Amino acid sequence: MPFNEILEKMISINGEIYDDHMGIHSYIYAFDVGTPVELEILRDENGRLQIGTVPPLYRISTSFRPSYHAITFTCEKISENGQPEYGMEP
Amino acid sequence: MANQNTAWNLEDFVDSLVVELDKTRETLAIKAINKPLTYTVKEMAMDINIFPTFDGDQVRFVTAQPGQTGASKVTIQLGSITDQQVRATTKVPGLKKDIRIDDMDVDKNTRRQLRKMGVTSVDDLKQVENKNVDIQKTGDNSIDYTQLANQIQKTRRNQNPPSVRSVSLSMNDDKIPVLVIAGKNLSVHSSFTPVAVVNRQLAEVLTHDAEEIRIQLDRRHLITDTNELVLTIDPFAIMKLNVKI
Repeated sequence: MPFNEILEKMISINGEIYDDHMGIHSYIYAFDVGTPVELEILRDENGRLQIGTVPPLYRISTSFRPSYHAITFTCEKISENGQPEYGMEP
Repeated sequence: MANQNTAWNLEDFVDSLVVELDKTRETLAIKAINKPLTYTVKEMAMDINIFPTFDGDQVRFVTAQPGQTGASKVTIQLGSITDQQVRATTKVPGLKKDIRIDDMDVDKNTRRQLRKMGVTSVDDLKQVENKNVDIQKTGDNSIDYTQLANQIQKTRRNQNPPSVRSVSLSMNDDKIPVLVIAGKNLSVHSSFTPVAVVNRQLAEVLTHDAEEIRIQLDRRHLITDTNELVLTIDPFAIMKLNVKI
């Protein structure tokens, strides 16, 4: 699976939290994800490097050990102008 | 057919990673138009288990596969930087007249040595010279700088080749016949006087510039209906013309 697809799927979450009983409506504006992944680095027909991934694995020891690559990323809500809403000020 | 788990260098890997991140951000930006609560990646770090190899020239990595042990770890961190920071740390790519060293006919060793010093284009070389740095002393003397300078001139000349618009015969004030060659990018090096050979006899070049070259003729040149003119404009531009009169 191309790297961008798995990344996109992992951060496409429903960040809204409702509690009708308490009358609360919150939303997540930023979150961090840290996960092990399997990577496969390929060269396509044009010689370009392609980063392939498979869905995350668990951090457990098995007789056939995963390779334990890992990615960590910080995500932020996109604001109306298409930029992260809480990004660093220039 | 893609090659499986190939060796890679860091530059290629980071380039691919940035492309993947850009694709993700573009997709999510479109998604955000209809779904206001959409997230995008601001910073990312990647721990990769790799087996490094050094072939005497480049360090390359092979990604560890499941079941493989004894791998080393590389951590790559991509952070957010502002437009201002990009401008401060990046040179303007592809200036109109700049020539990439990769596009020049230079040997592999020269290319590698220059790259080690961060020189990837003729403009980079010029920047180093402008700071009064003698690049010949900083290198390991394995680069033939005379040849490199020649290659740069040759490549520049190839980008601006001479072209002839017309050739005509006229008389100067002393009633001596003169062959006038008019065109573009003719004699662009003022330090080099063109050498003209008409019908296998050397001829005197009276004046020369980028748009016109005037050659004096005399009886030795045996002018007939069809004449051969070989003109060496500079060391990198030689032309042969059949001149019909």
